[in-house]
Amino acid sequence: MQDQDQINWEKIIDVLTDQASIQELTEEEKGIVEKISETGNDKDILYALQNLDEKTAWNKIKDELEKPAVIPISRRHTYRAWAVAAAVLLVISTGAFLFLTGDKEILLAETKQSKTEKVNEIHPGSDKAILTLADGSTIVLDSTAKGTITKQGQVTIINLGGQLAYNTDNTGSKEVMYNTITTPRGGQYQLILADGTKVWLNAASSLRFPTAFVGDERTVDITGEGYFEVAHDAKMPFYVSKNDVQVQVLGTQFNVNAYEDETDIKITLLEGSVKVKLLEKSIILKPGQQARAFDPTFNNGVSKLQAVNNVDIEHVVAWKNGYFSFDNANVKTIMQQLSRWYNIEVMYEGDVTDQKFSGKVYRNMNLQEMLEVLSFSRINIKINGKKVTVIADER
Amino acid sequence: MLSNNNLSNDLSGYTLTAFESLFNTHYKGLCFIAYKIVKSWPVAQDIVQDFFIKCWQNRDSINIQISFAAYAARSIHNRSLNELQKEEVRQKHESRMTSEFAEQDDYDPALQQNDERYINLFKAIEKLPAQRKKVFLMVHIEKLKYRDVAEKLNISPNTVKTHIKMAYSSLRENLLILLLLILVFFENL
Repeated sequence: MQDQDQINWEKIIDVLTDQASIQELTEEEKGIVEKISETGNDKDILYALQNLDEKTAWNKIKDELEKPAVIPISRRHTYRAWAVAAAVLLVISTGAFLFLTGDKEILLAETKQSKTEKVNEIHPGSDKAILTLADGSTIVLDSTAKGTITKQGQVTIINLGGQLAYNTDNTGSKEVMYNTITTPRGGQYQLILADGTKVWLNAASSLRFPTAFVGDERTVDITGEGYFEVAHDAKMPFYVSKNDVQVQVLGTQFNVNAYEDETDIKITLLEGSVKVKLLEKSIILKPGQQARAFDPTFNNGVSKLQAVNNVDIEHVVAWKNGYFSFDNANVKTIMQQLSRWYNIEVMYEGDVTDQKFSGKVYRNMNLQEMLEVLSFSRINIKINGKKVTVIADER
Repeated sequence: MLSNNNLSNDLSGYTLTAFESLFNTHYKGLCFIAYKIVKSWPVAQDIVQDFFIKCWQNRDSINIQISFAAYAARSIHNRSLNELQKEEVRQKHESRMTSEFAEQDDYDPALQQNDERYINLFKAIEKLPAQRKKVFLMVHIEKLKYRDVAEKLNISPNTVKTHIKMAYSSLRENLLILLLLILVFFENL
């Protein structure tokens, strides 16, 4: 490929905007000007941007792709070259897929296999958490163990697979006991509280909550990140707390980001209305706003509470919908989110570039695939077990 | 440098979701390349869609040594020529039938480089954050004035200006679009 550094793009622009003469350009540069000025090029580019829609196109071909692919080994003509009986015997006895054709295909299979073994697959997060009951006993939650977990007084806890539901028997008095659900790095879980409030918990998070709601308020405590859809109950306002930061809601949808390795706590409101309180300060949020609370405990004794307008909601709740959404995020921000979801340790070597990335990526793929989709240029990534090293390019 | 990643181009490890990402970022650029040969947008789109279908179905046997953009550009170029053959349109291109995975073909390096530049251009636009992309397209395609864009999106004209500025800087690595912007920009003032 030709060295693009030798082209003086500024000069080319000057020529195109009549500020310099085309004679001042090199032969190659003149060629580029001609290419750009060629009738139709820019109009075609604009047409493509305006009228082509890749999403519609993808939907069209998606059905075609989801059909099972023709597996090479079942190519009829290759079987015909061999005695069928011998072929069948071989497959059954070895219990593995052996390509029965020439050496070339056997080699293909071997290469693929050894390659898979060498590549240490890092799987994405999945539904897993630990539930700590009022008496201190713990239960491991994952999608596989479905059914009733336990009965605590009037409350029945049911594991729906990825989702935990609390059902209260409405007869008799309700004892208030607190449970805690904790997701590990690489985990996530959804919860339905006794009042019908839905909570999605991201990786490395925990929620402490009562098994039943009695009295005149509903209170839960959070660390990490959770998305809430609070059931409406005007008589019992709902509170979410993290140390001195308290969110008061009336019936609404919002996201709380309270990871301890972040500088502030962010509460983003989607629908309804919430009041965010930090010590003696408080603000009322409108949908689309985000409150940023700097707890004095983690902020050198200074408390700060501010409201941010026009937040891109999609970015904030992308995790709950199963994907990552980045808006001009730098490598470190991205790697931090990946480290919680993939449960990896990230280290940096050299001055990692300020390259920005924007886009949406589904988070249900392996780390290797994720990194390919993100396709960082000028950055090398080395994976060693669960340790990932990001190496700045010496250029 | 833009289209290369440091990991292999082994498609066999891709999930359908990862493949969808690949499709989305390359679609428009590849349609553009096909269009330049077949001169029909519907035909160009069919060519690109067929290519991706074949890519996916054969992902275990394809072995890509170059970047995906380069590989795709070459395939689309060949398939577009084949399409022309089918319609029996006389062109100045050679009449040799070229198979989609052929090593030898009439795809000279300069043409390849050009096609890849276009692909990267479209990829860069695709990667713009939603709001910025919207503003960018409204200004440069719909040819709306900054004030009108601000009104339509319920943001301030200054925000519009900032979005345009940031779009320019994200895209500055793709100098073709920069030149394009200069041409279009002067019309819009």
